[in-house]
Amino acid sequence: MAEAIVSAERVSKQYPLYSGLLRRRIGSVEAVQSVELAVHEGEAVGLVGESGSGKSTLARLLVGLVPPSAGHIRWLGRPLSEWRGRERLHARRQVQMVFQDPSGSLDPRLTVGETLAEPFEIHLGGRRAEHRLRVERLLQAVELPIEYARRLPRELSGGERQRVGIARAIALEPRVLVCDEPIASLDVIVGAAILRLLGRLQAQRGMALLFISHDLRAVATLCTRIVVMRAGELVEEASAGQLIARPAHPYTRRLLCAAALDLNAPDE
Amino acid sequence: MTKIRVRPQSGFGRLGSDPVLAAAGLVLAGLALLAVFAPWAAPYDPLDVNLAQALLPPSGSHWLGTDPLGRDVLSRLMFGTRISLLVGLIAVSVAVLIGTAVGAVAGFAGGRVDTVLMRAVDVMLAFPDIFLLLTVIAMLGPSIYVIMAVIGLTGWMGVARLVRAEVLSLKEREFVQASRTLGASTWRLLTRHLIPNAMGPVLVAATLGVGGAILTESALSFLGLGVQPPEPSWGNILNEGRVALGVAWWLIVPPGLAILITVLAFYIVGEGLRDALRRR
Amino acid sequence: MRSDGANLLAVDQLSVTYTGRGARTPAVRNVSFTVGQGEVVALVGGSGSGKSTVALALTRLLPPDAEVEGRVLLEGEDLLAASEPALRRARGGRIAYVFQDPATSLNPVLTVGEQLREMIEQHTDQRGRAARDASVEWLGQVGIPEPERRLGAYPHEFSGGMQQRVMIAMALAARPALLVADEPTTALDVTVQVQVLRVLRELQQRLGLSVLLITHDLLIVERLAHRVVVMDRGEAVEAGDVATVFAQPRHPATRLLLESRPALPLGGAHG
Repeated sequence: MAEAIVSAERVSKQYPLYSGLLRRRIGSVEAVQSVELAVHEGEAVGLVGESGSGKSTLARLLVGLVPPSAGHIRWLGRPLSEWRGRERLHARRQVQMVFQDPSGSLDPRLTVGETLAEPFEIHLGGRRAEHRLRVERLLQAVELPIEYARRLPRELSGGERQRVGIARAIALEPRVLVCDEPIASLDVIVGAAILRLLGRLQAQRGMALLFISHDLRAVATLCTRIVVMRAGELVEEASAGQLIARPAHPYTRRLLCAAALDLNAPDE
Repeated sequence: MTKIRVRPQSGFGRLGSDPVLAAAGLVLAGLALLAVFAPWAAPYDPLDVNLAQALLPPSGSHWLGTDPLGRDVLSRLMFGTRISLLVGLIAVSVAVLIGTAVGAVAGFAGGRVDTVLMRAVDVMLAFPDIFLLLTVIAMLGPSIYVIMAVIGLTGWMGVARLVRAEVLSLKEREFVQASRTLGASTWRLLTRHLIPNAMGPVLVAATLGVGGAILTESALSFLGLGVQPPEPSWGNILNEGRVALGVAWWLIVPPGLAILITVLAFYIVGEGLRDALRRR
Repeated sequence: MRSDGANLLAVDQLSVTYTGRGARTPAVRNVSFTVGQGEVVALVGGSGSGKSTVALALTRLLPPDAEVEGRVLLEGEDLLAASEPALRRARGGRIAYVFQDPATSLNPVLTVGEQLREMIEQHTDQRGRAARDASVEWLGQVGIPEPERRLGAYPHEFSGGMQQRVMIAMALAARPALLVADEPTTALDVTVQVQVLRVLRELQQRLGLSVLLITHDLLIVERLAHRVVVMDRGEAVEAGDVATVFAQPRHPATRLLLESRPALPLGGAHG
């Protein structure tokens, strides 16, 4: 089995709850509880869960945006906490993320070109003008006309903005692309196109994909392995075919009924 | 069939449709030009003393009459524009610079840093501005530079709070998270993303602040604690006109009106900016 | 188009044009369709197709800069030509709405019971005790457990799915001729969505409700609707009964919608 590029090892994340005038801590929210997850080279993994399942928190943990309360996040085998300074910056190139909200994921004051130049500016240095060609190639990779480099986010449709978000995420040629509900805010036609784009990019670049969604149908289209989360815990993990044909956990079965919109199945 | 039409409500289209706002904008533009071209536009040298021509009412040769020392009021008023705008803009710039820095750091860092900085802001806000102003002026002597600095130093707190609030909410926005994921440094996040996006409300506050700064300068100059004669300021023209209060209305009304109209224009434009930003 | 007495709702050449910023932007153009008594008609299309605009246009719920033209015949009477008081009575009363986000439609400072009672007293002739009993009845109809006790609860004390059921109860309590549901379950979790749709289907079948269902999810259309109207860029491009349209789509927009459905590779028992 290929080594995991990014993995979560008994990872938990708690958020403290405060109350009162003196903001005393009264307890905590267990967003993620002791979760184990690994993403290997080139594979497409789906993470399915409803609201409150902790899937978005897990995404942010894996990408290094928030530190875990317990357990380890490993990049290329090493715990995240051991990656420092320049090494850490360099390692970041391997794990990137596509966000859910196309209208919030792009800086409204920067043009598309400026947004796409940023990863290069950070990692390769230099000014925006020097990266013009790289930016153009990115736009082509996500099937957007290169003239869009001069446009502002508000001049783009939701689907186009999401393509820019994807372009930004693949700029550094990551080995893992974490997609947190990438099509949830888009309509079904545009969403299907984005799914196809992700599939194509994954095949072309040999990227691993961690596709996070509440929509089992979308996940099943792209992923070979599916993980189910509920209330911060991982409840089932299996190959896509296995999970759909022979779900083991009752919650998974409910998700499947819901995905198929089976109104006749008994409640609970 | 019923057809209803509505005037443009959004963005800068409003400038075209709101006459009051357009007028205020024109006033400010005019003042700016006046400040720049005062030496050429003014009919007389504002410092030119001519006791023989003292306290003349408005006439063909002196449109706004002369002051107790025979200087042309209109020319002094025009040069006073420079002072007012200069003080207003620089004082507010000082406030914005300090306030943005403090607010951005507080909002971004959070935790103890935030708490400490914001308590400092609260303390400064509770301090009565007037005492601070008068104390500093008493210590350093009245001058235009002291005024600019002090008005700026008493005005940065509001900006700090605004910037902090904006940064707090912007911090969680996905585009900031995205830049963090790319590996952006704190400096980059602050200077390229957070602060530029926080500037909207700050611009509004700054515009309103200029109005307030002009009022403060005028008041101080009126009290003799601001711009010192013979340098003309609307406030000290008023002050010098006090001796001829009952007789020479042309020493009181023009500077008073100038202050009123200028400050009002800044307030109207500031409100207009706030509305324009809100609808974007 | 002839005035069809058999149809509950007949929309005839409905057009909506936005006139903001001096430009005229057509959002909906010459849309015509009908909803029969006891029928569920689904209005589908991508974003920007105008389907939500149509729903709001029926009772002039659009902002003032929208020009609405055409006829909206509810039980033979043209709503667009009606007086303002008649229109107000129609909104929520003869045509009841259920929107996507219950949080914005429910008043957070009033209890659920108070809001239900308000609807009932406004649109039916039940008052006081009778209205209260009807409120309990409706909460029960949408499957809220212990309805009597829940009358005194505030909206935030309910989960998203329960809130949406309350919305449905409020809409139906007014005994409308037509229920317009605009993406009623889009904001809900998938497992909750199934429950709410089950309630909706059960109520529709039992009470013979006439429903205009706006959605982008074709699976919902298959489960709940009798007929479907496909919209694309402001126009109604295809209409017919669900099975036929889905099996033999004629318009490219319909085909695109059908192709975009992520299919679940079903391979055996589930549920």
